Amino acid sequence: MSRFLIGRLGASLVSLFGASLVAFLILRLSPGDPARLFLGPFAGREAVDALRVELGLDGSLASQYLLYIANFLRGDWGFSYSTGQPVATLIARRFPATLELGLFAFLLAFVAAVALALVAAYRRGPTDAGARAVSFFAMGVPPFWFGLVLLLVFFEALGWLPGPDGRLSLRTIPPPAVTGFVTVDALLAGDGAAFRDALAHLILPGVTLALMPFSFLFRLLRANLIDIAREPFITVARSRGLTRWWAFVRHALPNAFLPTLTASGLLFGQLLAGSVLVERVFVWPGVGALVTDGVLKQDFSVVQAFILLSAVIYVLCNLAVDLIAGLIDPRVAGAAR
Amino acid sequence: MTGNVVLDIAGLSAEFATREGTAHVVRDVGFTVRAGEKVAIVGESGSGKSTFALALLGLLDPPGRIAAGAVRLDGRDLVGLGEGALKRVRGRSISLVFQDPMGALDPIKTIGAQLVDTLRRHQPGLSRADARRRAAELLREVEVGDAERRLDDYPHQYSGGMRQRVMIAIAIANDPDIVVADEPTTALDVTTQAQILALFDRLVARRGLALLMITHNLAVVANFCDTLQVMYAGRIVERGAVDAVFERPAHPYTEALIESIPDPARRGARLRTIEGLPPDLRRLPTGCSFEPRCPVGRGRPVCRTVAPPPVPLADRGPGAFAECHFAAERAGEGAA
Amino acid sequence: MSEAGSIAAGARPRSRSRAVLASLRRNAGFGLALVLTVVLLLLAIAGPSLWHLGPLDMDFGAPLAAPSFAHPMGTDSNGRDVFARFLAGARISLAVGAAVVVTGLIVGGGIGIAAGIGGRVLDTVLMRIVDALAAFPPLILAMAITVGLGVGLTTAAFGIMLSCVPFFARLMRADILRIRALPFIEASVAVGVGRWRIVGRHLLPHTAPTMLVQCASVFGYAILTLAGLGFIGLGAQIPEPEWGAMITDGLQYALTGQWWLALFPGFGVLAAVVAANLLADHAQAVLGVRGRER
Repeated sequence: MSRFLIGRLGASLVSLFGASLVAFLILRLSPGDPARLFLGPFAGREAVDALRVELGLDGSLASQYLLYIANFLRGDWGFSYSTGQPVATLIARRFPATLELGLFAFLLAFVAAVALALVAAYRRGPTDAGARAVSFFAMGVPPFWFGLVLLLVFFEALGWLPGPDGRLSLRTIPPPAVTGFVTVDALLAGDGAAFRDALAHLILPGVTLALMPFSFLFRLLRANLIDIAREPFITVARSRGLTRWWAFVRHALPNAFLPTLTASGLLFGQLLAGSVLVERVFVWPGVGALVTDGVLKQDFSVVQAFILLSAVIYVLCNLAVDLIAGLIDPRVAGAAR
Repeated sequence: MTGNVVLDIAGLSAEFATREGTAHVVRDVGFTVRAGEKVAIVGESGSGKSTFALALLGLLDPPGRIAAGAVRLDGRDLVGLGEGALKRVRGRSISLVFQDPMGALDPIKTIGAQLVDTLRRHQPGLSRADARRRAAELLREVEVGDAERRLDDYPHQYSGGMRQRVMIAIAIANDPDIVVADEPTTALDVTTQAQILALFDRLVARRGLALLMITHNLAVVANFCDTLQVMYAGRIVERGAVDAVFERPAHPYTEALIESIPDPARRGARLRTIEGLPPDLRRLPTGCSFEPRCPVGRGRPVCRTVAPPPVPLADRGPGAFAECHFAAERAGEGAA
Repeated sequence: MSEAGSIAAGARPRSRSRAVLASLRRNAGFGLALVLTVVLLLLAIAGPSLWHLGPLDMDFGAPLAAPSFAHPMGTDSNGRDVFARFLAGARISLAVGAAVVVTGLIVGGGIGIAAGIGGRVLDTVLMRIVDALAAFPPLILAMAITVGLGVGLTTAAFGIMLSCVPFFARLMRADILRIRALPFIEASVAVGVGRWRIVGRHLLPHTAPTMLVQCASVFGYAILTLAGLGFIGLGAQIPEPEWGAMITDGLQYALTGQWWLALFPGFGVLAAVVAANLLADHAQAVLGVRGRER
């Protein structure tokens, strides 16, 4: 087990090193001088040069890289040119909103994908065709556009759900922040109305963000389930006294699920990327909207920090998922023991 | 030695819908199996044996289906029962030992979990601890050493022969009346084959269960079963006591099968093979389905046009027959 | 199970009419994909020259006009005809999609081939580079490139291309390794067929099915990502008639009643990506290709 762990850990570190190089090169390639950008067009040449020295921009490329990594690890991610605030503070403040939405979307995607894949693979025929059509739609629809369509239908036309006004309606008093998740905080405060309002605000962005991971999970699970349903042990399970349905649920699903788990690190990448695309439509006060705002205001320090941060999160999620799969799957665990 | 009729199959037909028409994989098969009896069905691959085994337990999935007939288990017809009713019978009164010990166990559940699940499914009153004790006993009964500890192992930690023992333990867990074993020794080496057969022998003797053995390997059957049935193109073409059939096979197909067994006494002699292929089950000939390959009847008008009726051969055990126009004279020939 | 399995493999529903229905249902997705592809290609190639309005022509007399006979998809805030922009957007999206697929296949496929047939050192070095690219969620890598190289349609296309290099490279390498292990390659080596001849005559042709499926899939990914970058503001810039940028432009009007600005370009993206994925899926089934990335 420990060799498996060290191997995966090492591979992740190598990936992260490569990713940090890529991010650093992109930063160096960017037009414009960070010192000039920070001080603005009217600052004197001496002031700019002084800041360049202070920021370590006068050293060799290698020393600049080391400084870049050291700063990133220290949490010193630079300053937002537009607000003058530290990028790390901005991101930290907005992270809970993104995480809450992401977890909610992941839950939706997971439940929908497992349920639909199970029924589709079990019944095949028209049910299967319908479920696949849904997944093709979810895979092909631009999420930001679909969010807009949902708003037009459920907010504008039907008025069932709140419009794009963030995590809570203006008239709702936010519950005291404990976890940073408004739904959880509302529950902790015993504020039912705020909880319902927060949940209502989660639904449309959650569904929108869930589309990509849903289609990914569904297609993988369905294909695995159909393969595994042909395995002799499914017939044997039925010969022991399980109905076809329970043989599917008890034996095909867990076996189909394992390969999905290792691939589902990709899901987090889709959620991260999706938050950038979706949050702006719903004026969701998360990191994704911070990034799109940064782009609009040409305030790229936020974007650059987000890029490396997302690589770190992505690689760590992939690692975690691999380790979990290693723990669960007796064959992997056995081979690595 | 043998007791009541456990399994009574009558006129069973199974078919598969294909794009090129319906394949009649099992055609009008009927026989009975008594408690303590070891009955074999032998045929080459493609003869419909495995489909027949699945049909017995109601495990045939679309596009396959049972077209006609009855499978009476302890007097109750299983054909047409829903999954809800079948699940109470499967693994309880009738159970299946599968041909592929590698793929027949769920790879991510322990042997113990799969045994305990089988036990508690049919004996809901059994506590988890008691079920585990029973599971260990079962492993001991099928001669798996260090049973308690091996309960917590996963299938990939077992060898092929050991897995087949586990399959047998699962099959007998709820003390069924009949075990259907579909090619239980095919994937195993010869030594392990012999051990598994010996194990089956002891279990039948000890528990008085009935065994229906389905195999392509006549040699397995020869020293092991009581009654032999030969299946060709989905029909049973000959039935009789094993010794009698081996001595003078009445059906040319049976004879050809027997002669294709390597015989140490005839070392050096050329092994006989059966020429040609089994017929297309979607376009069966009007006459005898073996006629195109038959050394006796090939080209004979009667064989080409008339499907041979079963010819009873009473001196070879109860219900013995052969479906060949020349069965009577061939059976006599051998005796003379 | 052997005989039952072999029959079941070719088996389909019972009667002839049901078989016909089933085959229609099996291929309904493929039919839809073909129709969508042909329509989109026609719109992109012939549309802009046939429609009397240009994507940048402004009609100050009719800003934010609702869909009508004169403007089937309405007009935007500057009175530009949304239909004309939609047609031009189809041309941009399909062109970028094709460019990404071709360059991505050449770069990524090339890396995969070199890693697959080269020595261990080359393999390791190339695959570590690919790992570094794959350490970013694809859209975010494409974002990063456009931030680094400057915002615009060309840099966005380049970023998308780089972000799909890992898909091609990993798949190509795996396929080369798989084929290299097949007996007939060993036989060719044994009888003394030259190395490059084996690569050109045996290895590459056998990777064609896998790559074809992957190309269709990447085509859809490219169009979707291009729209995403345009939407964020990192791709095409607003007057440019790119579908994603058009959706952004329409966002502010969508909830005030002028829904047509954002709605129609979204249908364009949806149609193109669904068509590409359906084609990829169909090709995967027909060609018996095992895996694909994305």
